[in-house]
Amino acid sequence: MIGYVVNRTLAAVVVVFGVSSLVFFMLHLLPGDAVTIMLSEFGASAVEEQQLREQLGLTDPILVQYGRFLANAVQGDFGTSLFSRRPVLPQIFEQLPKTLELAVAATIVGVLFGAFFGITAAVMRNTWWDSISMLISLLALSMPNFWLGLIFIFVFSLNLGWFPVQGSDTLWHVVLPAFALGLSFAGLLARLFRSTMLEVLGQDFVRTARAKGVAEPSVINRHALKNALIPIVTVIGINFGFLLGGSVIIEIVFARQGIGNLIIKAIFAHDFYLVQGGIIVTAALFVLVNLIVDLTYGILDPRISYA
Amino acid sequence: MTTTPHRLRWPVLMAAVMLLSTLALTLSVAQAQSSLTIGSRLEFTVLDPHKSSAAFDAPLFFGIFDNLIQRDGNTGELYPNLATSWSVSDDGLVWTFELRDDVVFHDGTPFDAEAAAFNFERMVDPATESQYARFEIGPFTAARAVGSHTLELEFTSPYGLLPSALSTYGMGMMSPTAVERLGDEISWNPVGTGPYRFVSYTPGQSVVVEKNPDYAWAADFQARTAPYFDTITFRFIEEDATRAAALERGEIGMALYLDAFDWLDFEADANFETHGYDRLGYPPAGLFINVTKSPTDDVLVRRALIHATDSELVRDIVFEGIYDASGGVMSRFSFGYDPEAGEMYPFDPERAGELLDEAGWTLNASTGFRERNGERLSIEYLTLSGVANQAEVLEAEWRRVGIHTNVLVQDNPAQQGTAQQGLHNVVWSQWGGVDPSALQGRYGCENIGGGWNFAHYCNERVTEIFAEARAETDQDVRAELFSELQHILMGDATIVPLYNVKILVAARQGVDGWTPSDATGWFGYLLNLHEHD
Repeated sequence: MIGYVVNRTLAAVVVVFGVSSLVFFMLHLLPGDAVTIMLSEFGASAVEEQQLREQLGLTDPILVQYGRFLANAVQGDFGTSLFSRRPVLPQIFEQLPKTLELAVAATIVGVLFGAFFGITAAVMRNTWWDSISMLISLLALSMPNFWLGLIFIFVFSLNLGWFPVQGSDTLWHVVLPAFALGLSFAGLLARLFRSTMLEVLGQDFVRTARAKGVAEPSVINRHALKNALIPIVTVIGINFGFLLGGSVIIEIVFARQGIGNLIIKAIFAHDFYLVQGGIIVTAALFVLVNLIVDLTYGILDPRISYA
Repeated sequence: MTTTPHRLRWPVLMAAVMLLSTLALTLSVAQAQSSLTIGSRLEFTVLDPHKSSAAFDAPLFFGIFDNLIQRDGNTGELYPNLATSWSVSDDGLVWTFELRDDVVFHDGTPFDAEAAAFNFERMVDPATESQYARFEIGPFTAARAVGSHTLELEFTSPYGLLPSALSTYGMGMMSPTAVERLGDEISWNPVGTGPYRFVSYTPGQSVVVEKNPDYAWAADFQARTAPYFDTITFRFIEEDATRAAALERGEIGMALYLDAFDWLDFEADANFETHGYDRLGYPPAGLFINVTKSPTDDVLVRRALIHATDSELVRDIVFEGIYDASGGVMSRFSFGYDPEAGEMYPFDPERAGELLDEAGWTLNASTGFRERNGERLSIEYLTLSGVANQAEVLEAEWRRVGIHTNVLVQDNPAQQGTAQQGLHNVVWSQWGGVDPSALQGRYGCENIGGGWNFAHYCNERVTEIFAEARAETDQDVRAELFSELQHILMGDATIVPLYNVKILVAARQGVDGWTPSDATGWFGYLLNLHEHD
């Protein structure tokens, strides 16, 4: 088990290194640079642009810049944002809690609603409830989250007055964004729960349990559900990673603090130190979450070992 | 016996809760009377005027800092602020400022000539990595305190623009002791002399400032002499619809930079007040015409293009008619605006047709487009995604006179790259500035290919005018120079003027005093914000 964790951690380092290098070169492939953005508001001349570029170290050959980036990165220094002039890592870590809060809340919404509709649909397969559940999940899956977000604001904030429109100050603020972000995940999970449950319910050990006279709720919970969970946990893990980076639109719609919002602005501004730092942190979290997911397999199914 | 205390406890508890909530409500109402939350679109990039290059940082800077000179955004006039008077040496190289002697920074440091000199040296110090202030201050070389409250600024060449430059958002005076004490942290913990003091910054969310009770040095033109609100909070709400909803629900008291449609809703609602401010532009929103790429290398085609453009229709369709027309390369209320040049090309499709005929582009009745030697008259239209809807309107307008349009949508900085290479015929653009000399960025020969000269236009006389206007201190002479400049640039038909940007603001009923500053009209002086009945 420890050997497995060490192996996976080393692999993770390679992955994060690869991601950061890729991001570095991709950012430099984009036309224009941060100086273009900085000077876009007023009448700077081409000469002044070049001066600023030299001052910021943007005129060095790209490999020199890359080497400097790597040398600093291994010492934990991801540079200073070109615009805010603050070190990159603190900027990311102060935004991270709100992104994690939203990702966790959206995952809870997704799992609760997904499990409810998926499991009940499987148990009552081919009934009207099955059809309705799958229709609802299809709707949830296909509604764009920014649109849902604006509709939620209109209905639950402006008309009913239940929730705040914007901000991320309290847990109350996370409810609407979590639903806007989590419902499509719920739709996905509902369909996944249904199909894996149906598969497991059709297996011999379920028939055996029923034949032994085990009560139906116990068959569903203890025998079927636990065995259906492995693919579902995998999807939850991967999706959690997506939520870390993919919550950006919802963060903007609800004016929340968050790492997605931070990185997307940095991308548009070509603030590449900030983009790199943000993506490295996100990639590291993604790898970490998936490592945790892999480790839960052993708990869910003792037959799996990590030798 | 055991039930009696229970029965008693509930009413007591209820009464206590009610009392407390009433108290809390009273307190929050009392607080609401002297606090204001302003919803702004974008987060401040940095809280340090010498480092910032973002115009939308300015409302904060004009709250926390004072400048030597301030501009009345309504009239464009310059007024003494921290300086009481100024003069320039005969050779134009040394400016002398007399400073107020009753001013203290928020940290208690007195403001004097040494402090002011420190600020100017800081702006040009390479370690500051200034992006805007350094350029705004021009050919500056040295700052000296020649008396306790007498400051000299020295330049390598005459710089007539200085008083105007000193009124811009990058020129706030920071406390030198705070800069030394805080080091790099100063950029996020600003200390100035302004009407509001910095309290806190929550990245991604808000900035809070509080009243400076000692403030007694407001410039003469300001509507108020002391700040009104105990606290002002800037809240960053990027999405227009969300910002409007937050104002509607009362989460914020004022919303800046609203969408035209939302703004009209608030205007029709008695619970809200609305303000619209014209933003100076050099140039205002319009399309630069590339004078080097066919078919717009022909001045007749360029003139036809402007005549064929009904900018009023664009303003009606895209901005509900709220925005005003722009005049040529300058907004109509800019310093030096010459209406004769600005109104050179009224909307006149017939005249456009005649010009195109004259240029040899004749109408092919079967296609509805004009052709010359079998080649179709086609315009490459480069634009940004946020304003691409304007291209649709213009494409339809130009089609009526037989011009075909290819629309290419790109976002910055890709758009800049394409425009620098000159792959376009027209490119959408919009700029601010405090003085018409900002046009050098758009029409200076040195800015073709590498800068912002998207018209790819180079003219010897225009180059001379920029140099003369930069050095000249006599405003009448400068106005004449800019008039000549406008006649040349419009005579050569280098831009299709479209509209002048209006800053749209709405606030809860009673909140008033959002005055434009900085000559660009973008930014209010926080000092004047107040609440009336």
